[in-house]
Amino acid sequence: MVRLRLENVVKDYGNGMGVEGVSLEIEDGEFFVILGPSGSGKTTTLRMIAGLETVDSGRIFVDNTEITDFPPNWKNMAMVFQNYALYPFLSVRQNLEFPLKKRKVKKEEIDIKIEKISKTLGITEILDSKPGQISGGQRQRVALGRALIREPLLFLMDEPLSNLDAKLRTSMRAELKRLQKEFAITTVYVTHDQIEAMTLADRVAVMNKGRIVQLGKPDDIYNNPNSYFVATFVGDPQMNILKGRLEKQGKKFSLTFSGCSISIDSSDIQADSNSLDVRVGFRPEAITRVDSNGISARISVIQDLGNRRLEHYSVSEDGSEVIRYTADDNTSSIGAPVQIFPGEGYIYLFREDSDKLIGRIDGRSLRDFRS
Amino acid sequence: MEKYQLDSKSGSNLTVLESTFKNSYFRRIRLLKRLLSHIFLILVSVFAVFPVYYIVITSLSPIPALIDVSAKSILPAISTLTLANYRQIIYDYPFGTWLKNTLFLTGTSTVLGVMLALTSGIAMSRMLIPGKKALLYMMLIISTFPFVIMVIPFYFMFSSLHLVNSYVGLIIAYSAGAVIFSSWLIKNYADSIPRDYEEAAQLDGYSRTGALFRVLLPIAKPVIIFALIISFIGPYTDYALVSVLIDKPHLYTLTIGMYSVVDGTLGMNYGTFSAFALLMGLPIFIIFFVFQRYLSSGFSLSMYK
Ligand SMILES: Nc1ncnc2c1ncn2[C@@H]1O[C@H](COP(=O)(O)OP(=O)(O)O)[C@@H](O)[C@H]1O
Ligand SMILES: [Mg+2]
Repeated sequence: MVRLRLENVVKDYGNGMGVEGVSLEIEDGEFFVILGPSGSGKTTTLRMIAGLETVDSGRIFVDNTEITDFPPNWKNMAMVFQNYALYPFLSVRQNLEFPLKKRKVKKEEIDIKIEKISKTLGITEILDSKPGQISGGQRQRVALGRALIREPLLFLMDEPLSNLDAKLRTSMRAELKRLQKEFAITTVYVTHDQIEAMTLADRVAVMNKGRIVQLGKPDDIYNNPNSYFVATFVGDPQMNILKGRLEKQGKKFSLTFSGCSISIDSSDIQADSNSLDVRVGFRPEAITRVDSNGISARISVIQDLGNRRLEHYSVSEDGSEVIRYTADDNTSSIGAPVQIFPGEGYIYLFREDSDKLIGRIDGRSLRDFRS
Repeated sequence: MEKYQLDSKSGSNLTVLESTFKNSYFRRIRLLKRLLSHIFLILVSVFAVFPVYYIVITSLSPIPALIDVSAKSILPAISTLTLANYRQIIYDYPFGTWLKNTLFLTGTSTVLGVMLALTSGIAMSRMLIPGKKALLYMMLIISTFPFVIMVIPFYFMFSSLHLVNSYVGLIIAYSAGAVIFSSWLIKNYADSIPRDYEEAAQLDGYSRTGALFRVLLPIAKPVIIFALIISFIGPYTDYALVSVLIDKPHLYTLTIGMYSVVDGTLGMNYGTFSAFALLMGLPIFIIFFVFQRYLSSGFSLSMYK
């Protein structure tokens, strides 16, 4: 049982940056991902867990033991660094032995462990090479091996895949997930890549400006973003955002955006006034072509992805861009006027003047109600 | 249109098709440049190598070769060359003792100085030290003073501490010199090594200090060797301080020994002088030869990072 708990952990660099009060509870065996843009405090949070950075206030527990001020060598956590940090003067085998030697593991036992781990990771061939002589993907495996070989309490990873090329990244992602489940080690994984977060995580914490802004299962974060920041940060291509206006009309609200108007139950909206400017968001895969009453737009660019397509539209009313992600084969030529509508997914409403989500409407339920 | 024609007439038009030059012109220019630079380099290396050659020749010539310097003395007949000067130095003087003394003195102060420099250099690279910047500048300024101007103060200091005719004083002085220069070198090198390595070692179970020494030292090996070599040369060739502090013959180093040999009753003996210089230079030559790999990497890393 290894559960990690952070209670209002703060790192103050004195420049207004750092980490401002992060609280987390990570379950035993969980693959937990901290996702956020560069500079949001992910690395700092991870380094505080590892003990590489002092904690200015707040407390960190493993199970019920407080470890806030433990030095890193007392914590038995393993970390995979972005640049792998393999000791360049040691061979791969010696790199793997390094953490075991300090723990005075017997020679025979070390050999057994190295054989096992290098088979699992497919690095038996390169055991006698130096880190400088092997490829990026192999270094990545050795770094994982060095972390796994001593069966740590906790596995910490800071953007471990970001130095790999796209193809290798995809395959390492799958392998990481497999290894983590196989070894069942509680893992905290830091990344700015939302695809990694979505594919790897049991749960995701989205960080922004030193705070956790949302925490949940990947599909929850994707489908139920609680703020404009999370909605636009998660998802690739990014969520489409159009300007719109919300007006109270009797018991309902009417939403107008880009020449398109729908009516929404008041219960779906948390609004404190009868009319307000909003940002209307919907995901690229939510868009369908409609015959009438949709958003008038023209196709400006088509990116063919093989079995799928990214269609870029220019909205007729104000020229803003909308991207549609689709597999249908209703192709139309560039420049042709069409009508589109987010009828296959959710429509999110955010206040114009704040980050706050004020409503989420299922576009699928609207198709017939559109006027 | 008008402007275009003007341009092309004045020759400043850079399009390939308009060029009045043939391709072979540029090829000849390139060859000429290469030729000139080789001639220049050959001239420079003659200037660099000639003195060494001349010393070798002089050391192998019977005394007194300098009296009648002529074209002949630059290219002497093989039959006139002799090892007499070397034989004289090695058999007639306690050359072995002097060499041993020098190596002991120089080796001890170099190792001591660089060891201290390691701790201070790493500390200045990795730790928060109040007034670190001021300290670094001070060291830089101190290192610009020539060693010779410190001879007199050192003498007063050491004589009042009863360290005259003792290697202790010399070792202190020499290692202090080595510390200053090497700390800088090691600090700069350590700055260029990512902290990830030490941090990985800390997570692998080592204390902060343990990690620094287990991981940073092996990575810094080239610069440590570089610092050792550079620190070695100063004390090895020092005459000023050692001649002031040492006057007991059994404590002589090579430099004082050389002086006592050369300063013979017959006046300056250039043949012996040259032979002595070559013998003395041999250890340095061997060290440079063996460690040249580290020398070049030490230079490049401290200068380009
Ligand atoms: N040692 C430091 N001194 C001062 N500011 C720092 C230091 N380390 C990080 N920061 C600041 O703290 C913020 C969070 O950094 P970091 O945790 O590295 O972000 P992330 O890993 O999410 O990109 C950044 O704005 C960064 O500039
Ligand atoms: Mg980071």
